[in-house]
Amino acid sequence: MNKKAIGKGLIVIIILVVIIVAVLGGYYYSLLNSQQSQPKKTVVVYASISEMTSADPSTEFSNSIMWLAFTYERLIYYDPIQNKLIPELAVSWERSQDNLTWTFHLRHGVTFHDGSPLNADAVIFSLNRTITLGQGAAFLWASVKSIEKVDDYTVRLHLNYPAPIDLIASAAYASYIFSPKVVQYAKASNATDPKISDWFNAGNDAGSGPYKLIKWDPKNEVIFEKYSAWWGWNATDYPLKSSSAPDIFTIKIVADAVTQENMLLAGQIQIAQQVPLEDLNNLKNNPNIQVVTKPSFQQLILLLNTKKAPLDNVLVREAIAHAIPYDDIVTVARYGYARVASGPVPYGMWGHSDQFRYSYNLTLAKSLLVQAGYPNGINRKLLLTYTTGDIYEKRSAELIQSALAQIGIQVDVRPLSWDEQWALAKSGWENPNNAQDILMFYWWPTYNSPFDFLYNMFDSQSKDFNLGYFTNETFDNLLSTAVTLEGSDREKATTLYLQAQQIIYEQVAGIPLWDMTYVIAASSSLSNLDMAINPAYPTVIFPQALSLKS
Amino acid sequence: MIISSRFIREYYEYLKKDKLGLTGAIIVMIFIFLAVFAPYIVPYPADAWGYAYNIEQRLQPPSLAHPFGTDVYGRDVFSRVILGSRFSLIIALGVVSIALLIGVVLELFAGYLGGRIGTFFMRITDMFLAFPPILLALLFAVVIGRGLLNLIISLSLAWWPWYARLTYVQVTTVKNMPYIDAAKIAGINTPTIIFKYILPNSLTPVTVQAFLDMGAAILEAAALSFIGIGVQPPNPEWGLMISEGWYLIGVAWWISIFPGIMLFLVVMAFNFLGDSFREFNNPKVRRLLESRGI
Repeated sequence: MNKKAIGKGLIVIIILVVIIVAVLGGYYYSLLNSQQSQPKKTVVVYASISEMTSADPSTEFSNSIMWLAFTYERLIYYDPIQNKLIPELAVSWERSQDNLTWTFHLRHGVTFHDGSPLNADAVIFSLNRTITLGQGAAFLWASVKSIEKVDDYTVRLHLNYPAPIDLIASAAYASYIFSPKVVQYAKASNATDPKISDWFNAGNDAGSGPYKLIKWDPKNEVIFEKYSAWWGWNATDYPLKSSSAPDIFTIKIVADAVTQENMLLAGQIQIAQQVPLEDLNNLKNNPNIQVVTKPSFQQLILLLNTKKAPLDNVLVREAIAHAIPYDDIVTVARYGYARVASGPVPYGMWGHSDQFRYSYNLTLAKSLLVQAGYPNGINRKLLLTYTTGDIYEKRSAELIQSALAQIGIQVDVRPLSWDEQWALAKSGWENPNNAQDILMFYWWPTYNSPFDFLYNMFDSQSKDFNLGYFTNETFDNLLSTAVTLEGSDREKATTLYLQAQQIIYEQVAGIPLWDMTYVIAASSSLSNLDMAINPAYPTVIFPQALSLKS
Repeated sequence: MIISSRFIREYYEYLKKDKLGLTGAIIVMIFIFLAVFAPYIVPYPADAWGYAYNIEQRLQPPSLAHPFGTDVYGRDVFSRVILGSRFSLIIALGVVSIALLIGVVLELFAGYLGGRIGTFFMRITDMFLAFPPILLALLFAVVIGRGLLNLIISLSLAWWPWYARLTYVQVTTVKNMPYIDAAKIAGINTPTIIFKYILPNSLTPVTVQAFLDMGAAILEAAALSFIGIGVQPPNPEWGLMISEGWYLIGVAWWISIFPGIMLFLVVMAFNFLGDSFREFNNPKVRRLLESRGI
């Protein structure tokens, strides 16, 4: 045999091996598939604009709410439309006369996805872990002094000062209960060991909700499977469920609205988080598509740099507030799917009032500028930053740019990534002259109280989100009094929050632009979509409430 | 110098026979006319500059009043497309001339002096050439910021190495010509030799290349504006307009289609013209033409 023959023989053998492997592999694969497809499973795919973030129910404070909200459960579920608290893991609760002690009676017969039972120990373990880690939205529990186990199914919270623990227990973040066995699973030494976080972020869940996490690929897709042992499927006192909920629920990351719309029309996804709003009329006429709109607590707001000239002058701020065409912005930016905002507390939230709207009046705006000492307009370009990629913010910003040009204020509109925008804005506490003049961003509530909006964006202690650097002692005092009254005297608290908003209104610390109306486009094969959307848990679709028509 | 009245006359004669080149030349001339006079001939100047908006007129399809329709702010797309030609012309001229200046001046000296200095400059040029120009321009644009001027600067910084290399090759050839030696022996000083003898004789290929690159410069600027780091709104740059309309392509196709067509036409015209110009400057073609008495 010469060399050439060896070479040929080798090639023939390699080809044969490849063919045999391919045939065997194909046969095995088809065998595997046919076994899997025997019980036909119903699937619903929900397209999300943004990638999922972390998977730790204690510390997560971002996009992952989209699935945490139904993989885990809270003690109480909140329905803001009817302003009703619905028992979830707690069947009932009561507070003491002095509002400093809250007692929760837990539901019997609830199991976590790992099979272990829900009891007082699990609740105490979860809340303690969240509070001790102190990240994300853990600040909500700041009033809690200690948590006491009364018996296996009763938990008592002792507070330092009165706080609305019922609202906090129903919050969208930091309110989730999980199995204490995570310590063993993660081979951790104690509840706050970072190993537990790693275990969660590796794609494990330890919740008790109606769906369990089965695939965790946060940049592409996250898949959930129905948890058949969920207590809620048979509970009569719990409304958020359906008898024909999908077996599999998938969150698929599709980063732009146009693609989402095309995928929806092609039947590749069943729910689109965003579609071009201008196209909604076409979609509404399509018999295969339904469009659901729902008011939300998400607000687009401008925070004005109150520590840098010329916006340190309240007259200039007021002039800007009166030079913005609010109705036009809603029309152009949201195609009408929003409501002109009135005050930083959004429409539908308690503590909201319709009296904090600025009029659109160019003559007034110009005369205010003259009074402020700028008869010929501002001699430098003001810097407005917004988050790049968000078309609604972009359009709002560009309209404001051309509106302010009419009273002689030139604006440099700069899109930045949220990290850049936020870093620049936070640097303003050190040196307000280096920061932006106007910051445009969204706020949505962590828990359902005006305090969440007013404190985070305007209190002098809130260095992370008070990005207009507004400091006002009367305002701070009003807030700190109101928050302690929330748990006991809601009416008095409301009055104080209105007074606080009056200060924001007069000082023009921020200019609220619009309260968003959520618009979800979905396949007509789904019903009950309206119930599956809840503005208190923004961006979440609760799959257990969806009904699939065959 | 290559630009002379005789040269223009010759090229004009050549163009008469080259239909593609002629088409390119006509479109380019219309383009330049529009760019220069745009603010005076557009029907809605305020819309064109982007400082006006008109809510009632938004998203209108093409009609007599608005031949290219209106965009999401109710601005006339026709006016914006026409004014957009001014931005594209400024970018094309700016990028090519700055890049030409850097590339030619740098390599003129490097090529003439040769030796270590020449090698040093050529290695720097090679470093730049190792990157695709659009990536390099992207990097510069992100570092120095957005806007028309910064866009021109960052594209030029990414562009000059091509001219540098062409010039270098040309200069090293020319400097060994007998007439340069003669000039040296005659005692003429170095700057005079470089600028009076070497520069004019090495400029032809690089000028042709620059001409060819006008279309490419417009295209790359449009790409950078499309992704948001070039010309900033409300200015009507074509790439930017395409990106503004892209989101609504299913509802209002006219917002991005018309700037797209303009971009296509102008870039194509520059390429036709550039190709014909290169052919014309090809010595073989020249000799052929001369033999026919053109």
